[in-house]
Amino acid sequence: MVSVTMLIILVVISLLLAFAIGANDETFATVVGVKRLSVRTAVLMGAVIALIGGFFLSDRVGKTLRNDISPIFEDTVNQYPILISIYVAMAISLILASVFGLPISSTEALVGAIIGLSFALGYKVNWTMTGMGKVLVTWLISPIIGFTISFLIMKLVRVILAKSVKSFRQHESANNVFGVLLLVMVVWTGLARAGNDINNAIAPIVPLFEGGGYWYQRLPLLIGGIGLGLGLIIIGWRVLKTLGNDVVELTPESAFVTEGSAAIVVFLAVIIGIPVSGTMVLVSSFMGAGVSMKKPLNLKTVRLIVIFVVLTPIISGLIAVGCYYAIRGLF
Amino acid sequence: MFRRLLGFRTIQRRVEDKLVQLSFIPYKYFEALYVECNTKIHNLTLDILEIEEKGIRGELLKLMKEGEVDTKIEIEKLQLFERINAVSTHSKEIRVVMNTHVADMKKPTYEKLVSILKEVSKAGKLMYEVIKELYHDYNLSLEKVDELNIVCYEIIDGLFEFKFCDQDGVCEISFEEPEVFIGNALNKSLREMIAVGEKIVHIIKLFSYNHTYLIDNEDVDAKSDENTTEK
Repeated sequence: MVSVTMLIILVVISLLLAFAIGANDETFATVVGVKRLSVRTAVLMGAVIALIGGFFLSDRVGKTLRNDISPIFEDTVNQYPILISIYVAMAISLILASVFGLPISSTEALVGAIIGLSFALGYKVNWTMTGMGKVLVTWLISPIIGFTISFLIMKLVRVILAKSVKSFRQHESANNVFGVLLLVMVVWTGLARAGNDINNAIAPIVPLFEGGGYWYQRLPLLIGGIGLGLGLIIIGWRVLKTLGNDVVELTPESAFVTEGSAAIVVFLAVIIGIPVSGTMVLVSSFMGAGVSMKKPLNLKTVRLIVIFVVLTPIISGLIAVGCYYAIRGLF
Repeated sequence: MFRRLLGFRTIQRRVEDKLVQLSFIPYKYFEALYVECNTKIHNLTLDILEIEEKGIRGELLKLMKEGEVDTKIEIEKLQLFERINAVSTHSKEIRVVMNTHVADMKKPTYEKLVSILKEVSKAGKLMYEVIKELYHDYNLSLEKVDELNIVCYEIIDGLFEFKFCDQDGVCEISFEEPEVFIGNALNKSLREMIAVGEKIVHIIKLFSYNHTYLIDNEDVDAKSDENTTEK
């Protein structure tokens, strides 16, 4: 009875977490910002894409998170305090970042919590290139790749535009073309990010659903997809409305380049099965496009973001360990 | 959604057509006003043009609201539209003051002002060409802006000769004189045409990928101004 109650509690928590991730999903903000979609259409489209992406693309990333980093999820004795501690650590890390107004990654928070608990409970972390090694390398190089791709595509796009756009009419036509391309990119990014982000909410509870049939095993993915979609529909429209209206500096071509670069990097990571920070990739893509357009970078903010990228897993790990020792006695 | 994606192109083209049409009205208006003032016979074309201008203005506002795409572009288009409107507003003002004060003016002064109207209509035509070329060729549009500025400043210089000085060459400003009213109205209209040209240069600076030198020059000027102020 206790295990059924705990299962329901954990499913509700993961659903809420997926809801929160969906509510903060800014993927469609660019397309709303350049007025190619209304907020309502963007929200509905985003919800459907989150459901599809989460259900079909997230399996490999989930397996990496559960099996390759540390054997901590095989611990059946301390299963519940471990799962609760991971969720608490993620929630606190995300709230802390929101207080400072910084874009941090829920993926980093989750991995940090897993590593922290593994150290505390004496589980060996797999630092090789089959486990944490590849995750760390991807974290390190994915923003660099995002920056570089974005920088190069932006340069190329501007060279093409400089050669082909000689009048205001041509400029408007080019904007229309980039608007359609942007929509395609945003759908792709949405699928890739759903496949990646949904695991941050449901990866820890997936082992609880092992042993049943195909649909029973995939139930967490469906729960995550529904949570992500509902978050986008119920609260996410506010984020889209705010960001979409604030992003006045964004032109269709720069939005296309940043979204496109982020989509390429995140999608590749999801296909390979590596959990990657979609937010960091998007931020670095923004910076790449900005540098390419010779716009000044706010180095103070960049420095702060880098500090938070480094600190997020550490803080999340410490909170998870503290929480684990605080609640261990209850089980 | 598809209407939003595909419909913009049609709306943009319609906005373009209407903006070009609107910019053509001051030229036609000054031409007609020249005829009216020369013959002193009420010219119905002017009334028709006023109605036409009102209609185009209404349609443009409706289209601009419908076709909101890229905020920056829409803002610039709206500001351009406002500046063209200002030219039209001042041209109507010229008609009123010309007709009101025709009896109060000496014949040579009146004739001089009428001949200036012809010059202003040429400037109006240049303004129309500037806007038309903006949609076809940035470089040609910039050339036309230079021409517009030269023509406008030449006319403004000519306005000073009877605007501020009396027969003995003593410069006094008398706001009671009808030629001052008319001169001021002409001056305002020409300044608005120059402002349209400035807006076009600004739009090209903002959206062209080949005119970065315009931005560089302005930045250099701004920096040197800042340095001078600091010293």
